[in-house]
Amino acid sequence: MAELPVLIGLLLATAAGTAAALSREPVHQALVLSVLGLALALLFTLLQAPDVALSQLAVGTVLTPLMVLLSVRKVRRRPREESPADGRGEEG
Amino acid sequence: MNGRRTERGRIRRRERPAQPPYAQRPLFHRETRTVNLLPFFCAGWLFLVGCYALATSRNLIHAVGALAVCQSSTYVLLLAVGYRSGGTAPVFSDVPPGARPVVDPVVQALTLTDVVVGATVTALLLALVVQIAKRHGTVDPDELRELRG
Repeated sequence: MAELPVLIGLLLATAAGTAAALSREPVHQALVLSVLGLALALLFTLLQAPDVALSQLAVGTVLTPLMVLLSVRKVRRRPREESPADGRGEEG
Repeated sequence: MNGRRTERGRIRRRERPAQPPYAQRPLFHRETRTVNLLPFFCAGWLFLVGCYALATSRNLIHAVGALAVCQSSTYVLLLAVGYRSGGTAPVFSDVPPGARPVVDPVVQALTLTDVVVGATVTALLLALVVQIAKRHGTVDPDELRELRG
């Protein structure tokens, strides 16, 4: 049957999306999101949409996990420094 | 009756390139219904599991990732609507238009817009999360009780 690669790509993207949604740690989730972007790019290529596949390869595989990782680093670098002074500490 | 129908289907499948565009076969095989509906089930499953992760999230960055999973379901849905069995990519540089079944280019343009808008939404929400963490000192949504400054 001719649509077997499309079905395999669909199931792969669904499994990657489920794993990305059910992973609790944001760093782990960023890595699984890049796998999801790769699976979606493969699926779009099999669905005869090469331009969308290239765009998804750039955005979903590189840009979104990179933004997630950078924001995780930005958030974790200040682990509640101003909290002993009970809120709105330094400049409000 | 039954044999005539299968023979007619075989003839129709053999002379498909000479048919007008409205007579081409729709998504996947019409004979097998579960295969026919599988892309829509996959899109619905991705949306539901993304909504579940979004609702039960303990971290705002994790919630933004769950929202990205929800957006990926819309890509699958749009491209599954426009897909045509046996069709090729809608590029007419080497063949005249109508000589060969192609997939729908309109939903591909919509999906391309959706991908770019999804990346923009993710960037905007992550910037908001960074600002929340800078102001409140936490990214747990349950600790963001009171509205402060």
